[in-house]
Amino acid sequence: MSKNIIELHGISKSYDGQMILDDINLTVRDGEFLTLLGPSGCGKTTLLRMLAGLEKPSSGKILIDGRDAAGLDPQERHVNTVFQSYALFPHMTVFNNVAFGLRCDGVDEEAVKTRVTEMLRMVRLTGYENRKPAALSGGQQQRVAIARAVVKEPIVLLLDEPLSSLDYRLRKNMQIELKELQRKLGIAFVFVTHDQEEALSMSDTIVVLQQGKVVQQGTPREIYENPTDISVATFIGESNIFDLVIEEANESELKITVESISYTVRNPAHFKTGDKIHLLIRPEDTRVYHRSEIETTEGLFQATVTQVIYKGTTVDLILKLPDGKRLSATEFFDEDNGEDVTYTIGETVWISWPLGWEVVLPYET
Amino acid sequence: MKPKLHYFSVGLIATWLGVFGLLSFLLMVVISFLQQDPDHIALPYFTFQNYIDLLDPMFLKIFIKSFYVAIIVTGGCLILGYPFAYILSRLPEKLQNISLLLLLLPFWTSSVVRSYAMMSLLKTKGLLNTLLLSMGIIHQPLQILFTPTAVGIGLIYNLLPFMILPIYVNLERFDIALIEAARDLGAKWTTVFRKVIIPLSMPGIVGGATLVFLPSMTLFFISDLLGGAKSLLLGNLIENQFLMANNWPRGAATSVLLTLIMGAGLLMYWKRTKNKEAEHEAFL
Repeated sequence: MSKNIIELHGISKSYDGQMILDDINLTVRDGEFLTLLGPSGCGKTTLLRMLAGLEKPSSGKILIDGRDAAGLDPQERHVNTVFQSYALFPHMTVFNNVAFGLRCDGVDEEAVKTRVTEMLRMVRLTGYENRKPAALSGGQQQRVAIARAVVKEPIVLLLDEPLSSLDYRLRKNMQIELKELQRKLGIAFVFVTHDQEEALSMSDTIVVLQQGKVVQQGTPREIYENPTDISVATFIGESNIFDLVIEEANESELKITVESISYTVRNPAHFKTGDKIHLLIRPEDTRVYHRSEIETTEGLFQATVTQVIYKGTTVDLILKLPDGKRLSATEFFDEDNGEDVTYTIGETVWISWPLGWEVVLPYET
Repeated sequence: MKPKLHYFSVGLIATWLGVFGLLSFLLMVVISFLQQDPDHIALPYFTFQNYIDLLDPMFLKIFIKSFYVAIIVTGGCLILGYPFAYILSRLPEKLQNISLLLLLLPFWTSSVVRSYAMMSLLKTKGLLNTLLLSMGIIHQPLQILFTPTAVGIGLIYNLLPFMILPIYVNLERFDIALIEAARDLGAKWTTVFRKVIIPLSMPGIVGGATLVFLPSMTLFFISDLLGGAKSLLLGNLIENQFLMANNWPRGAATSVLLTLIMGAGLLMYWKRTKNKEAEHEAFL
């Protein structure tokens, strides 16, 4: 595997006695797309600003490309940032914005012209050189901000929620563009976002931050399919959660009862008899059947449809269990299967999930 | 705001400015083209004589001197005021409010009174000389009072807030992210100032300079009190013509000329910024 380009060792930060970041250990590998994901106020932006050199940690050590970054000012690190508000210089043209960093480094004008022109071509802004940022659309400003940072050929590009102010469609396009750009450049991206969908679709590695702590780190798939923590599970994607007590446990299996039906599921983490757990079932793993579709209702529990949301590629259902608990389910149109995905509000349906697709987590209040 | 109240408020200000600003200025323009007469404000005969009189070398000398003083004072206010405004704008909000209050506190007394106070500070046996003598920094009392230096000090002291406030207002809204972006891109602090902060606070600087430049030529009582009888600035000249010589048309012509020069200066700045937006500006 490629080498570590950034290493954080025991990074903490507090303001006025309030802990913003608590003992963060993290590595960013060369060429990796790493996302810091968390709700606002979790410290992800502070962490990014530390990498940029705009904030100093209260304790801990940051290594950038093997060098201790403690004494390095922002301009001495080979790290550049795309700011959330873009922070384009309003009094300069697009060309001069992109050229700014090169000119600061004393690159000669001839080379500046070549590199800026090449960069603008790369972000498809050729012809906009003499415009002021105010005369550009949000997406174009975004691309100038990226060009301005990337033209300096950093070893890591930091992106602070760069897509948050774009509309949905543009955001989707920029996600793909960013990902392509990252592949083309081959440099590491550290991307900050609170949008879990964005994180899942773009990242090689996701680091979930909550209240200043890393709660889980892994590939998007690991994070989504095997959350290690109920807070990660609820933050990333939707889930149906049942709070249960284990009736019987051995090293490999657990006996539980969901809605008066007994199930035997895998024991993923040495749970013992009597342990309180959360049982998680993702809406897309929740199977919904009409009575006519099944021969027996054995191993299935009953629910009432309270809402049907047609989404085009899927149908989302809100269901109510007899005890009043709400459940959501996502059903895919599957014409080959001939499965009936027409539901009416108020009708009774039968619920199950493929055993083994559930997630069992220790109970937390 | 309700439209009615809106119109009333805008209307009131427009009327006020119209009557006391525009109308009185137009009156000045009209009077400046009339013939002077010691016994009347003016005689209703059209003439260019008042403007031709301004070509008098005596007048030109005062004019150039006033200009020189105004440039020094404006420059002085800028050098003192800009860092002050910058620091002020970066303070925590609570401290900002206190500092602003302290800045404006002296304005609760009339500037004539403050100029007298300035006299007692600067005079031969005044506080400043006593202090410097007792500290052994100087051995002879400095003759500051009744020199152009005293006028300069008095003007800068009186006009400094007018420089600080517009720059402060501008810098207070300044997007910190721009400074961070510049630092992130490798700019040294000096570059950040030269290329980002100063160009973007130019409207504040121009606003402040406009507020300082004209008064520093025309605040006649300061040069009267601190400069002594020999210090004659444009303001004193205008005052003399209106009140002593009872030569309203000539006083009016002087005022109008001053306004035109200021107007031309602002127009030039405005044109220049417009051109700059269009052209491809050089970095260094």
